[in-house]
Amino acid sequence: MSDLIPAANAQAGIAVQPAVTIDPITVELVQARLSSIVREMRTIIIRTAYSRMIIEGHDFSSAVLSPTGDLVAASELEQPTHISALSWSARALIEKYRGDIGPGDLFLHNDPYTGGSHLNDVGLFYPVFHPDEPLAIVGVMAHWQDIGGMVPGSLSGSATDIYQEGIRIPSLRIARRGVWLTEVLDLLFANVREPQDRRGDLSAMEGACRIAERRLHAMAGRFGVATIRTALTALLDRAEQRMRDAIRDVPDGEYAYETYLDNSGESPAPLRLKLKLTVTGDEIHADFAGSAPQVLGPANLGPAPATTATFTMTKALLDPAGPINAGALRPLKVNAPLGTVVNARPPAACGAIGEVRRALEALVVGTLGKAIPERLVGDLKGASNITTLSGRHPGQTRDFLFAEFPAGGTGATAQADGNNTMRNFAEGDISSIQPIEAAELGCPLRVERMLLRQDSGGAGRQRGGLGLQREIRVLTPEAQLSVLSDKNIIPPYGVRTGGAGGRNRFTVRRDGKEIEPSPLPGKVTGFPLRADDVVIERTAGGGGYGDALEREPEAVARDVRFGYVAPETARSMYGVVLSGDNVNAAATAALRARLRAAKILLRLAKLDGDEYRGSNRVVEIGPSAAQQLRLADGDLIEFACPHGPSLLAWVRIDTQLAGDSCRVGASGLAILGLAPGDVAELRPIRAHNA
Amino acid sequence: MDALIAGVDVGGTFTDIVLFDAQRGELIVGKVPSTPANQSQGVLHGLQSVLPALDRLGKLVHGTTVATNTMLQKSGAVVALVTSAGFRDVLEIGRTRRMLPSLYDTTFQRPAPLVARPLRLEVAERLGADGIVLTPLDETGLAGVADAIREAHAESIAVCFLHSYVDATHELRAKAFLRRALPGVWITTSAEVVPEFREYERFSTTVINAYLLPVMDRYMAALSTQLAAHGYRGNVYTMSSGGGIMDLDTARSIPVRTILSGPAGGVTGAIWISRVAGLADVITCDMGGTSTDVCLIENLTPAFVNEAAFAGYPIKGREVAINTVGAGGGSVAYVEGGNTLHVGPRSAGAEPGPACYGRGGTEPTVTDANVVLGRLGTRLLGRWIRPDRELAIRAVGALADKLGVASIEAMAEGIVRIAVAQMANAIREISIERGYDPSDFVLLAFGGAGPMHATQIADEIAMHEILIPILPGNLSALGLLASDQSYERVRTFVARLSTLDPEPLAAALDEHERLGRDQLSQRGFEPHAMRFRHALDMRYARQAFELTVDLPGSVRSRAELRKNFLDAYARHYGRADPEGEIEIVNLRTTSVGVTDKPAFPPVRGAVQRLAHAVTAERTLVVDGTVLMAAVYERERLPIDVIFEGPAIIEEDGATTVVLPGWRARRDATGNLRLSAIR
Repeated sequence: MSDLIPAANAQAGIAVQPAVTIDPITVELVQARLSSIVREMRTIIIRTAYSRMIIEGHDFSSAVLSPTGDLVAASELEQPTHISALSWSARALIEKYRGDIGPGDLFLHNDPYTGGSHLNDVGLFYPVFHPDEPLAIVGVMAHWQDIGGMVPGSLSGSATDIYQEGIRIPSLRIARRGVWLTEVLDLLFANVREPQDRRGDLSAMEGACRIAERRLHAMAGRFGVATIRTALTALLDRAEQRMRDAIRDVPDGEYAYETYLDNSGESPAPLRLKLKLTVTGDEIHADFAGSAPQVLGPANLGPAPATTATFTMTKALLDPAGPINAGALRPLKVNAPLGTVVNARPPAACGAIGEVRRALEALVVGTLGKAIPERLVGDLKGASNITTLSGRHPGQTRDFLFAEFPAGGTGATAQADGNNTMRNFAEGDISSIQPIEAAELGCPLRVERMLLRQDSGGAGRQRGGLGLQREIRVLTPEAQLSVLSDKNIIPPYGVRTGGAGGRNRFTVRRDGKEIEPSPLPGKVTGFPLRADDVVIERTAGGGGYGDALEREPEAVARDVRFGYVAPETARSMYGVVLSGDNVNAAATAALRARLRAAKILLRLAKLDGDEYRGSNRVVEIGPSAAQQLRLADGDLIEFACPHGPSLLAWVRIDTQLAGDSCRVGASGLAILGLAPGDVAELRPIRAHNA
Repeated sequence: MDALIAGVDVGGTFTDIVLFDAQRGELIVGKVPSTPANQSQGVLHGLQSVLPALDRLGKLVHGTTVATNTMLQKSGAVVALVTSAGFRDVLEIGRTRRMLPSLYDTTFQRPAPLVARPLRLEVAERLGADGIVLTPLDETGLAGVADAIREAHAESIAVCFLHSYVDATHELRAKAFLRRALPGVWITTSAEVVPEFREYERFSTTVINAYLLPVMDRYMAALSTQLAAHGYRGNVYTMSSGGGIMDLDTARSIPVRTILSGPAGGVTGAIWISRVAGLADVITCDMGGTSTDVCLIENLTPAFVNEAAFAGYPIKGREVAINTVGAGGGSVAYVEGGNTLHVGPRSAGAEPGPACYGRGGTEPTVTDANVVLGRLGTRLLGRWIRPDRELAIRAVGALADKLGVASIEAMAEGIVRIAVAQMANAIREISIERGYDPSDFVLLAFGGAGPMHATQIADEIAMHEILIPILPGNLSALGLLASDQSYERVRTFVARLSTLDPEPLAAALDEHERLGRDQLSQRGFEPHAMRFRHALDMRYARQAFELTVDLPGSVRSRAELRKNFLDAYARHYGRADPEGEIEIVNLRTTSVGVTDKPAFPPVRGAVQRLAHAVTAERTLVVDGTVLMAAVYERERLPIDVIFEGPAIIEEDGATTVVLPGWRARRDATGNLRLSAIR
């Protein structure tokens, strides 16, 4: 399937009356009321659900959709991941139950292949009628702690098909005209862990929908059904208009970029994601052709997330204050080729959406940012970093579960340095780490240190934010560690020649020695821990913006004083010489001149033949350049790009090639915006232990 | 009771004074410009404007914005943080949250921590969660820390160690050491400010306290000196965020408790008015120039929260749950993104103010819309400003043209409606979303703009009764006069209900009460004027959110505690699981010293016949229809004579609009009572 966003008035199971005219004030009042309803739904769910991912992680979204399944109202607190999944799922159920949807019906859905995100994200949909006319669909999508499958919590880095990840719910009626279909629910709950708690989650979601229904009825009584319907249409049209206006300010053209996931979790090969954006007037066409074929591990997606990522990041770069609804999606056309990791065929496993969707977001930012470089942002930690320590209290039969998903540094922008260890602009604003005192009260664990990681922020005129380092001692002999992460190998990119951010890294210190808990870094499944092991979480820093040698020397001096940057890094990366706490201006100028002259610039030539080896972009360099840069065959490098994000490539040494030149394929040259004969800076990316 | 007591509420623009003369039973009201650079001057000028000689003043209570302004302007002290080795970045990393609206905003910058990294100093020490010393406090290391603080010229220190809520010994020893090493430097420990678990929130609160301490201390010292120089010999009390007043020494040592001083005064004022009016359940709506504060009061007790954020920094501590929305009289109506109409949060402020003030403002505000609709006349606003109707029409008309709205009146009604919708939403959040039905409550509307919008807000959320208090523009200052002293105490006490031994729980609460009793008797309260309110923070074992459950009288048994929790849970969330495992997390005690309240002033100026209170007639636009409305002078309204809307009631500082569908009367105490005709 090569799917485009369905039009607003797509065929639907619920008929819609034609609109009446409406004034902008009423539209505003309807919007305010709908936002209030969504907020109220949120409050109810947070307070009454059982899954920690919902009540603490706030990993859920509620929304009011039009009778045709278009997202009309969400709040700024909703998870961007769920934004289009809600609409896709609603449309899937309308499609399936067309003509048989009535008041009091409830539907469940979680199937990635018909618009869900991953199986843990369960959607509940409740069509609201007033009294018999369709008014809206109320929807909630929430991350259940467990949905069955081969491991507790259902998400596993080693899943090889979707059946291992839990129970798949196609659009499924669970209540008809107000009567629960209890047999259906019995089947569902027989297949998940802690079924009582999952019933609690469902009940919380249902409670929120019922309240929303009551509020919508009150609204309909006040405004009238026709007015509300017209207002819904107007809200979508208005959002569309805003987005079109914003797109019109972007220069027309084709923009391309590519990023990588570390690997599939199943094999060590990196996975390429590729995007071409075509901006034409007030529309953007996003084409993900060239992305890696679907894989055996969980790093696959259904059809919805590519659209979500395109929407979320376009909105962030072009119109962050605009409304979050389906109208704003209309000017975007998305092609996600079937059979690739961004639109897999069943039964590929889809658990790692947290990783793949972030890579997609980075891809969209990097690509669109090429059109508007002044709005580019350095890359982010790019992973969910879900870290689970579980086991048994020492000498007891009582189990414990400690889970967190530590944030990293955010990317630098033209205006400012990135933020240190903070949930980024595309993530819900929730706590990503457990309070130390709460963790120690409830689990046989002791947090020994928590600090910002020096030098983890990508160097640049504006520096990326710092990630964190957290060390957790295990105080029980029975425990295990699982981690789901990415960007442990491929670092967050810098933009406009800014440096890459430090990578995520999860290790265990045992008997004073740091060991790797898994063959593939960041993909840890049930690593057995011993008493007194120390689990070390290190999260990525944000990518830098612009040339580090242009950074304000005083800012570098402050970074050193604060310990954000090591004194040695101030010299080697920023060319800043300090005398005590102060900048030595003359020595700095001299050092910067020396570093500039020492940059290794290679003359570009076009690589004929295959641009890629597997997923990996190939760069050919000569032996003398390889020696100068200490590079071997297969090593990872990046090209610094003055107008966009850095481009990654893997080295192939060609003994015939002259020392000052390199070969890159045509699409690579296009990404760099350079022609054969131009020069580019090439920088090695070292492995962690190098 | 003292013969003369004064309440002084320092606001951003004006300082309000209410003086109560107990002998004459009189309230005297004053208003002077605030003096932000040194608030004590404004306080003194204000007092002198109503009472030349301060030696007769028996008691002074004030609501201060010193702490609020210091936080907003980032003008607090240079603070050093002394913390457990390995954890200096807890303050910066926090819970990794942004804490401010910013989704999709790539350029968002989190507010910098109040202590920069070089001044976050570590010392070897560590307790376990059970209070056992894992690493003893390293006093040698403290000496080095003291040197660093001295070198950096820090004025104030926050001592924050992990698990100090279990055992504060290390913190107190560090404090004693630093006190000896660094005389003259202010020192706060986390267990003194808020001995509750969850380190980031506790550290943040403690650091804010340290940040405010020198500023508040200097302010209070200056104020006391100036008042003494003018003959005042009493104590100076300060309204706390918790809605009670604190004596001078307490406010000086925990200034973080004064951040909501002003709005809390409004809530206490509302409670006093409600008591006089015989009401128990009200929702307050304090609408000023830039924002509106709403608060739910049930059984004369306001809703509380135990944690809130201010300007992106978390603050732990029991405070009145006030919900603020950025819509007030000065809120600007504007078009954004080409086609979206907004009202607020941008405000025209005091300068230039609404267009109708004629001070150069051209954008339409809520006030301008009210002028266009005839709700606000051209009577003086305050003492200085006479609204210019032409300017209001021009400003609203320009917006109508831009949006293609058919008439200026429709535009004006739209602006007001959107502002009202925001206030109604704010009330929904604190009532409906918390399990309360607003129609069971009376809307108590005050502030400069509250009375004007009250009937419309009530219509929007189906409330049937409204009370407009006497002196609606000065209710916060009035509330200061009617406040009890109160002091909070909290400790973390984690226990599963199923295995709870009630003995230690009862002992801990008794200990709280004993400490509170000492505190109150030191402040001159007799036992009969002391009240103690206990509460427990409880939760289901697997949840991370606690619910504060009041603990009346002698309730201590497991069965009673379970029932109280389940009842509270069901009330808040609609249902409760009777089988779920329940946990106690914190114990809270509020010690209240009950003070005498001023007598309500007698009603003056009432005429016999309603017609004699009419000063004019004015056209009013309601739902597109032009109506004629009588304009009444509030002070002249006869008592308990009912009249129906449309009507306008004017007084100094406020205008009450009675829409069609409402009837109004001035009651025997002088408050206006409005009822829906439904």
